Amino acid sequence: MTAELISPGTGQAMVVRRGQVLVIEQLHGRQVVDLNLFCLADGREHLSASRTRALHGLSIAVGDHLWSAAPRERPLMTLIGDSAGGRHDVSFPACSAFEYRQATGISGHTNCADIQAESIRRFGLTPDHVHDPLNLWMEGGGGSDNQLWWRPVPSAPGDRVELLAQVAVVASFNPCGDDLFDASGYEVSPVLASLRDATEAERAALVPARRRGPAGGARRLEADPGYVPGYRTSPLRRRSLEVELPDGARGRLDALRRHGGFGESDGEIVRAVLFSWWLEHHARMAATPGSSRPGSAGSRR
Amino acid sequence: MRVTVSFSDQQLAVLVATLAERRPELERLDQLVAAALDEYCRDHPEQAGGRPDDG
Repeated sequence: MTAELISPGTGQAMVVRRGQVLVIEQLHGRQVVDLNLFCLADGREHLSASRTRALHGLSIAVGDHLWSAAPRERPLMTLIGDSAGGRHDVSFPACSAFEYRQATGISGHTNCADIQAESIRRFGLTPDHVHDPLNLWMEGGGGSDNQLWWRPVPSAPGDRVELLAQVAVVASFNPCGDDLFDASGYEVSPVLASLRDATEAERAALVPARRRGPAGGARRLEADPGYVPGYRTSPLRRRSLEVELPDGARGRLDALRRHGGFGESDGEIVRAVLFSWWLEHHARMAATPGSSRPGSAGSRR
Repeated sequence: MRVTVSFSDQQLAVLVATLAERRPELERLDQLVAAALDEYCRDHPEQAGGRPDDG
């Protein structure tokens, strides 16, 4: 399969058979990608973030499995490659229309839950089938204050993760729709996705195929040949604006660049400061119950 | 100094709403950006390379 471009505001749901490797690659770098998994033979079986973190921790790394829940409870995929060498969160939910509306007072922001719902519609699944994701290139953890935290994993153009299918799955993934809370550098960027067969060495990571749980009532997933994607927030339009800043801004931008974490160009730094400031002073976080990414963003730099 | 900044339309919608609802004393995006830079650097001098009262 040639690499497929996954544009901002869109996603993809594709079949990955046992022994195949799904490769997701950064085009611009620093782009978080959300992943949902369903068993192709029975859509009732899907990724369980809670079972996965119970076995591997709040973030996973190379060698860790992505598990389904009881009563089936088995590895669906295994992370076998990660060129950036980071960890990947399984503690935060997909960002949602609800939380952006709560934070901004505005409806219609790109969000992973809606994008996932549209992607899996191709296989006859509904928004209720979207589940807690693997957040690729986003490390999550827990603090002594009983709160979860997250931070982006530094990644560059060309960085890739490789996921080996242990059973035939429908893998649904999308560039995270966040451009307000710094999951991906205040910008939603495209990523590339491709499939390949595992090498002999990689096949050593396959675990024996097994079935658990009730056999009856299985719901086999099949792609609808008439499916036409209908992502509501694509294309995600951008525009470049010139802003006039006081002369004293030069020294501040240089200091922030030296500090790191704000970006490289003046424009990236200004945008990062602007939305960091907005988050601290103007986002309506108090109204976000059970805060996920926005509520836990804090000042993590 | 002039800086070119790339925004998505949904980011601009948030900034316009912030201007209108939260900072009505500011009339233009330039002013909002300047105020944000000023206040952020005041609040985070360790990141901005200076003391809180540095200009």
